[in-house]
Amino acid sequence: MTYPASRVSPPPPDVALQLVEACTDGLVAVDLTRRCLSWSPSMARITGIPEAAAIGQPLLTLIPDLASEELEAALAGTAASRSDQAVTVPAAKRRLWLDVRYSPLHREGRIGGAILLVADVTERKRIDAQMRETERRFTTMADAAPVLLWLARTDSLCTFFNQTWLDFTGRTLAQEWGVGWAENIHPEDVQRCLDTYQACFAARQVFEMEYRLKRADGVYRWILDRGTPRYGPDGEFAGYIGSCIDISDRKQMETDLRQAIRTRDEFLSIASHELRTPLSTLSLHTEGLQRSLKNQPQETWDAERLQHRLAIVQDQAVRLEQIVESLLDVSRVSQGRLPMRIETVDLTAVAQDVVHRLTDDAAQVGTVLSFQADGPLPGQWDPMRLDQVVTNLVVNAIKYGRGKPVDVRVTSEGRQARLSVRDHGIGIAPEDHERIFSQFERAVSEDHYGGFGIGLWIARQIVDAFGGTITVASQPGEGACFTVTLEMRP
Amino acid sequence: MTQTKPILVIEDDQALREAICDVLRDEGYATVNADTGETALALMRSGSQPSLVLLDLMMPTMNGWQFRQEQLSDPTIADIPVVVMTASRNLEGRPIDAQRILHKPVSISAIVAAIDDLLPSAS
Repeated sequence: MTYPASRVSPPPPDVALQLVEACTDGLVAVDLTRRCLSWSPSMARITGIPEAAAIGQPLLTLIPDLASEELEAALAGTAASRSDQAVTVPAAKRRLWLDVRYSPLHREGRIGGAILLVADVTERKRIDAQMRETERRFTTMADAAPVLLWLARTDSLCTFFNQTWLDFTGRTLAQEWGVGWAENIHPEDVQRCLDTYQACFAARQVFEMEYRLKRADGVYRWILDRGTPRYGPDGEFAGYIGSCIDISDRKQMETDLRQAIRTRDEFLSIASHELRTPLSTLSLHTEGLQRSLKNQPQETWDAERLQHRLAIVQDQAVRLEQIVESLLDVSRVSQGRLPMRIETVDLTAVAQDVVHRLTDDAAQVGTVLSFQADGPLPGQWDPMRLDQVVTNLVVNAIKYGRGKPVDVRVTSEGRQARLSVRDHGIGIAPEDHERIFSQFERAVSEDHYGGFGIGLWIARQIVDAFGGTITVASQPGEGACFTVTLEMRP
Repeated sequence: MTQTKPILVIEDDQALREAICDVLRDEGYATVNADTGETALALMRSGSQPSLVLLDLMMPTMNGWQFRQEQLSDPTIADIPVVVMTASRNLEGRPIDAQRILHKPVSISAIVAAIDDLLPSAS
């Protein structure tokens, strides 16, 4: 018996037999005709073919899939291996995955066949396939998730970003890998983010952080990122998993809500302020009347003075009612419920009536109201609301007119009726021309002028509802001219 | 009632200004009035100095804060006591240097109490 030169001496036959039996891998020896000379117990276990059924049988009949270049190489004297070989064992109806080492079998000084060392890797392959399926399922779920997901290794480098993340940032996995993701964080947020990330990572703590992340279109969006440590089956730290949601809309809503609350509070403050002035007058006169009636003998009561004071009380009640009506208008317009009763109205008559009604008020602050009109200008409008528009404009002109003349003109051009109210007062800076038509806005400080800041806003809402326009032309210190243009329809 | 100098009422709302003057007259006080800070300063500097000023804060052109600043910087009128009448409930953001602060709606008794307190000789 000849052995390869590398072997010192052959094992005793009883030892050789025990070695074969102890080996968990299968051992097969075939002659040059590929018939089985030896079939170890492990090989019988792996294939399900007993030794007795294998000895003398052609190997490739028992396991046809073992026909291979490697087998032929071994039979020619060159050892070779083949991993992950899928084979079928027809007799046992088994599908197996095998790692096979093919070696030449030396007999009587020459190649007399081949020896196959067969490792059954079927279970490992099954687990590998399961893991691949689990991973594929995770990736599918992660990519389909509406949230941005990431995974980090134990060294804190990020190695996975789901498709949602990559679509959001418009970057590749290679760009985001490691700490590449931080490149797209807003410069003002990035250091805070990295600090939080590293500190929590080191402490294995769950963390939440908000930051601005640049979207594929270049817009920064607010992101809420929650990172959680993950652990392996034996409890060993395996890195972090993180999920992010876009909270920009929520943050905007929060900002809008805070602004709305602030606006409401300011409005309530102004409203209470506006109510307190007529309430003061009302209260002083009623208290004064009570004192007079209590302290003076009835025969000395001055009927004319009492009536005068009662008239003032009545005026203040009307004024309060108007303020309450204005407050209700804010609510009605905000809810789109400004009631309109459209009928044929003469703009000239309405404007003339307003001028007549406000002439005394204007005179009290030294303002002369003038009125000029081409003639009747009929249209389809709500008379009460049209009156409200003209009144708001003339009241503003008196209020901000510094006692100088206010001119009200009503003209027509084709089918257009035009009302202009011009004062020569403090004027309005061009940058405020549009803002003053907004709710609760004013061009001047509240320290100087009262009012809700709704007169022009209401006027514009009404004119809009009539299908018309309202504009202002003004410069600071040079007065202002408000113009309302409406379409005439007799 | 030994007070001869009038009480100056500075208030831009005409109805309220007249109401305050009315009730003060009923209570035996002489009054003068102004609708802006400028008019009031002109009046005070013209020689007819009031014994006390009742001052509204929110007024066109020169408001109450500006009036008070001007008054305090003029030694001839700086010592005239001022009672502020304000509709604002929170003056922390814009404090005003005054002897008394009354909150609107004001009552006759509150005004009279403030005057009597600051001008003992008037009562």
